[in-house]
Amino acid sequence: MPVISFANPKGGSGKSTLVLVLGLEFARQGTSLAIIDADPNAVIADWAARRVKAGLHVPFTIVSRPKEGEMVATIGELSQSHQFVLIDLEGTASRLLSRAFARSSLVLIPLNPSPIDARLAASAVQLVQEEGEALERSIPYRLVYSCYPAAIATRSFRRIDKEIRDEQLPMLSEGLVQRAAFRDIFDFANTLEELTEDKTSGLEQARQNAYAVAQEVVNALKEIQRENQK
Amino acid sequence: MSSFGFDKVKKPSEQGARKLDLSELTMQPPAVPADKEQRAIKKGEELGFTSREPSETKERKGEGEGRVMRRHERTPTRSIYVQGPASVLDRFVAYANELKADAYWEVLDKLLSEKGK
Repeated sequence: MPVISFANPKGGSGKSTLVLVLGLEFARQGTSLAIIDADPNAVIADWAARRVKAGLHVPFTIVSRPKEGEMVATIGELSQSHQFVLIDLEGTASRLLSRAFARSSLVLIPLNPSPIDARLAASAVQLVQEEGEALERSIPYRLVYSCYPAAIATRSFRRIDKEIRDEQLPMLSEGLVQRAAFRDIFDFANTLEELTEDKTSGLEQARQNAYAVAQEVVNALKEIQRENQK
Repeated sequence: MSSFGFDKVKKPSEQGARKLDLSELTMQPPAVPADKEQRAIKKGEELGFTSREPSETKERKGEGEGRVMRRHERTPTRSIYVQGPASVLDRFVAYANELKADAYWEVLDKLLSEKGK
């Protein structure tokens, strides 16, 4: 079943947040899910470990920090036994990205609306395209905002957004909005459903946002599947 | 109670309970022929996407020569300033040169390892 890689060579671009939010949304839908946490910071593996320690259920299989040599077999095994495999890749230009991209049904390239994120997101797009040429097939990818301001669009955001649209790069029409809930799931090792309004504001909007982004990812996968069947 | 009946409108969370339709998704991850993957990795390396894994040893230059040294690429580093008798420090530097060490810490590492420290 689908393997989705999340990559931006810049650290702090919101990859891990997007992986966990999407993973929790897929798990909430009742799917069997595996997350490969290949980020050296291992924040998702840490989230899962804290839940285990607290006696809470971890709603997905987690594989932490596979070495490059183990990545290929890990993806192969997990994709046979789970409906979705999400790969949180490290925030550096690493060969691990090449290995994961080649085996992905979809590569999601998250970016904050900042110039440096955008520049490094562009280098990830370049890698996807170059690799696709070498593999003699296109590797499907989508850019996605991982933390954009809910209210006011900054000038740099508008500039980046315009450039992406001018270049007609594929972009998810929904991205993750900057919300306290997406920080608090890490802080409290909770799911969005477990957070409560007395601790976290804007919960319902965050849940809606997570669902909308997951819906967009599913739509993208269906589109790719239709393309592949042609 | 609402005057306009908005209280009867379904809230977003109640509309289909945020259910995704995953029924059509049957895709499998793509097959990756080894020769094409090698080409893809080479392309990636040209763009700077290289291996970031710390290697344990440097390659030996030939039988009986060269050195095997540990690399500590991902461990934290710190600096120490050593002031001491010139004769001792000169011997240390000469020994480092003799070993063809890339850095003085490698000589310290060797001496400590030999002492089992």
